Amino acid sequence: MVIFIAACGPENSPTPESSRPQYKMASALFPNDVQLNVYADTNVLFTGYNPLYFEFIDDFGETVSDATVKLLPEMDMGMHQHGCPVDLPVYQETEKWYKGAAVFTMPSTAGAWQLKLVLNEDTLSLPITVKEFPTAIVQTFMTVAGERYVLSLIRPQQWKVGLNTVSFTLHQMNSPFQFIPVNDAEMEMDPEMPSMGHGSPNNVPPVSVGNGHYQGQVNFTMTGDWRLHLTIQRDGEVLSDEVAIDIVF
Amino acid sequence: MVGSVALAQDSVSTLLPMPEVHLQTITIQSYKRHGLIEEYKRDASLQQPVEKMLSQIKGVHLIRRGNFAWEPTIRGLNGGQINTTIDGMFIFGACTDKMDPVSSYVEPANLHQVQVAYGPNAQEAGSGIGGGFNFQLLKARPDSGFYTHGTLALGLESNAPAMQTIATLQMGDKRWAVGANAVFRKGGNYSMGGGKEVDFSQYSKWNAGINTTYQLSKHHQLTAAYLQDEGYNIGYPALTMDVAFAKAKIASLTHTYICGHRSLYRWENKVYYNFIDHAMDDTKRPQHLVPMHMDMPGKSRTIGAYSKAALRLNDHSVFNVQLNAYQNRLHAEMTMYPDVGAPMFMLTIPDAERNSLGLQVSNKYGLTRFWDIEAGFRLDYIISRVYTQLGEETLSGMTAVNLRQQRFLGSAFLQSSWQLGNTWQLFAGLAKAAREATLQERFGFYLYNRMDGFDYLGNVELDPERSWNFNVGMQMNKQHWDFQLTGFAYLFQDYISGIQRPDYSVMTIGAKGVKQYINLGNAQLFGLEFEANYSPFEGLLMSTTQTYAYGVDADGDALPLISPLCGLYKAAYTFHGFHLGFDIRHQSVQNHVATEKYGELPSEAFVLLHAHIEKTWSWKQKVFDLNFRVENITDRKYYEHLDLMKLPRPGRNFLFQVSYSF
Repeated sequence: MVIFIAACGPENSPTPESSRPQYKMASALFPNDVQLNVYADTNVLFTGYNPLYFEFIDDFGETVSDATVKLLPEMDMGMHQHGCPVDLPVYQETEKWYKGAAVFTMPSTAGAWQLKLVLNEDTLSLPITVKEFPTAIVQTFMTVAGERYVLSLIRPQQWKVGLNTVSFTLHQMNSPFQFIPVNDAEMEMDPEMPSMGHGSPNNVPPVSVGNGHYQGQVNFTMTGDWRLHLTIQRDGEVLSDEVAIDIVF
Repeated sequence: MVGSVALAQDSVSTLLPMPEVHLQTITIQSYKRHGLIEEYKRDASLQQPVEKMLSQIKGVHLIRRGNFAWEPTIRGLNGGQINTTIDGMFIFGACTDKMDPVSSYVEPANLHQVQVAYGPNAQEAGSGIGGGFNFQLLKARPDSGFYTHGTLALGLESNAPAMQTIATLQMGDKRWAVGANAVFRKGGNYSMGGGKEVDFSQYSKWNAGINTTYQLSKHHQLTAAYLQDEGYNIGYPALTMDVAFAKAKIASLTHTYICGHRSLYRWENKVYYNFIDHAMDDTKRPQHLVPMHMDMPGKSRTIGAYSKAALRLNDHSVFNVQLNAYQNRLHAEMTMYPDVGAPMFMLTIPDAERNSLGLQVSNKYGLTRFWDIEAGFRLDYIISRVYTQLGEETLSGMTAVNLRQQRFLGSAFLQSSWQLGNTWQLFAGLAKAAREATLQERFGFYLYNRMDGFDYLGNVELDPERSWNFNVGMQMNKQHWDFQLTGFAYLFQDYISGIQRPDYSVMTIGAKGVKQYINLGNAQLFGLEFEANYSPFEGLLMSTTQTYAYGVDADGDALPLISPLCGLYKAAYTFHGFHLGFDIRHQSVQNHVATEKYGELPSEAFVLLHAHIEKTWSWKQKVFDLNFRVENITDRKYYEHLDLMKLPRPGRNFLFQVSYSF
């Protein structure tokens, strides 16, 4: 009886695996015996925005909640390496893990992805596989001035007929490993069904909600193939008017 | 112990009955005493489709989209402005393109009578502005002794070619009766005047009904009736799609109390259910004309009940009370299959539901021997809503307003007639009417209207359409001739119509734009109807019917689907079982149209000639009838103003009909 109580005791006990709806992608051990479990919302990682959940369990069996965690994905393409935009991992009190995200700009067929994680001063690299998403949901574009940006649809999302909340991330690429969230852009969104050539009324353009995220509303009048045409502006200058995100449901 | 079927209106005065001003009754089949069935043919036999019979009634014009299932209108009023019921049961078509008006699911062989009402009145089953149609089904009744009656009939037509086969049977005894009827109808492509064949105008259908009545006790009767009507492979040349099938199942259980000498002399209670399954079909059209293949099924389900009582308060007064309730659910969807990409699915009527509870009270009163009045009012409580989550989601992008709507609707009427001497009758009446927007007008989602080429969106904020109705007229009856002249006016408020929404992109490939239903404001509809009969000697009857209507909306534009001056002249001569008839039908030009606003084009005038010769043999109670008829003798190429896309009507047609009744 006493042993039981000791094992269930303090608040930092990790949530049992079986109660999580997410899929466990990988497990690894940090040098200081801290176990890392990585979870995702789908059992496969795709190009574009993927929420990632990082659970750290120390050698006492308790979750780590007060460390500094950095997420640094890296792709090795042989000739050169580069990173991708991320949402910085933030600790979640109820689920007891760090929630972040990575916007994979390419699939693993183009090179080898590694998820590099930094816990305080310790580093760990996990190889991962990223598959190409069936439709175009992430786009890297270059402005007239030569600046590069990455726009991604936020996934996963259960689309339904009618009004849906639709969210995007926008990051500016300053260098192969530096992706800065953009919070001052303006977007126009024009949905279209490519096979029919018609749009839909009553859409709400995405607006910045911080952290590089933009949220709007799209009206899907029917199921099928939809293309969201985005025009992105910043400081009165058009960054791109050719971004097209494809959704099918 | 005879179960009687009320044929004529309950009349209070002992003089001429109140003229059928706001209600017209056509009898197709009825019972005489001793169970003998007598067929009344009004130039529309059992072989003809029921719509052809309706077109003989003054004020009724048919909107034609093909050679099948024409939509009846009353004085230009259609759709939600008129009610159509079968035996008092509410029933609603399932097709978003109006390919299946309720009249397409009944056959003359099913029917005892058709009642046509021109405005709110005592017979009305629901809230409506322009009245409506009630198709009263024929039911076998118990009789004083055992009887068996039936009819076998066959019809053949040269222009289509088309054929009809009909069989009916009634059997009964003192306490029970069973009736059954079956019809099979089939037609190929018809040819217009001049001989050119109209592609995609074929049809085939069968219809079967069974009813059984049990006499519970001296005054109580219980009737169960079931009707099933299925049409297949029906072409609509005026539209871009045809119909794969149109199936209806109509069931009812009725309890009737009749006791002639008591004040509560008739009380009828009914519960009913009907279900319509409809599917459009674009696979028969040439593929290069079909931009994208689509499946478009629709379903309509109605459950309901009513209780009607008639009370004779005294020698001068008859009091009618009616309580009815129904729930109608409509579902229509569309799946489109592009050459490249995933199929696209949407609801076009997003699971809409109407609940209605209504009370109607009316009194027919003989103020004096020469002066009758009839007055009544009606109150309905109506709830409209979307009953599935998918339906709500579909409309979530179009409106933030609560989709559920409930309201009270009231209407009232007053009709009066005066007898002047032995020959003249004057009548006048007024009514205040209101009707709720139909489920298509309220919740429709990109419904394509072929007439103006626009996609229509529903509007959940529509107010009811209201009107003041007036009628006035006179009737003269002499020994050899009679005539009736009626003038009518409908003054609408909040007339429901479509207005362009330039900010919306079309959904249907090739549509000109998107319109949404709104309350447009005031509209007016005026008209005149004239009917005269002349019988110089026994056996010869000449009659004419002339109708005219004129409608304008709030902007002064012509209302759509209003027939110009139309007339019918008939001469019929009966002798020794022979019946000869000659008809002339004409329509004058219609130039009062609003082409830009409603997409309606002017129409040309025409004159049509028909003739028929019929011979009836009867011995004992058996009747054998042979009818040979030629329609459109001059093979004239013509169309009526209400025919969609000016689709030409059939050219010369030879009809051969034979029937045997026992």
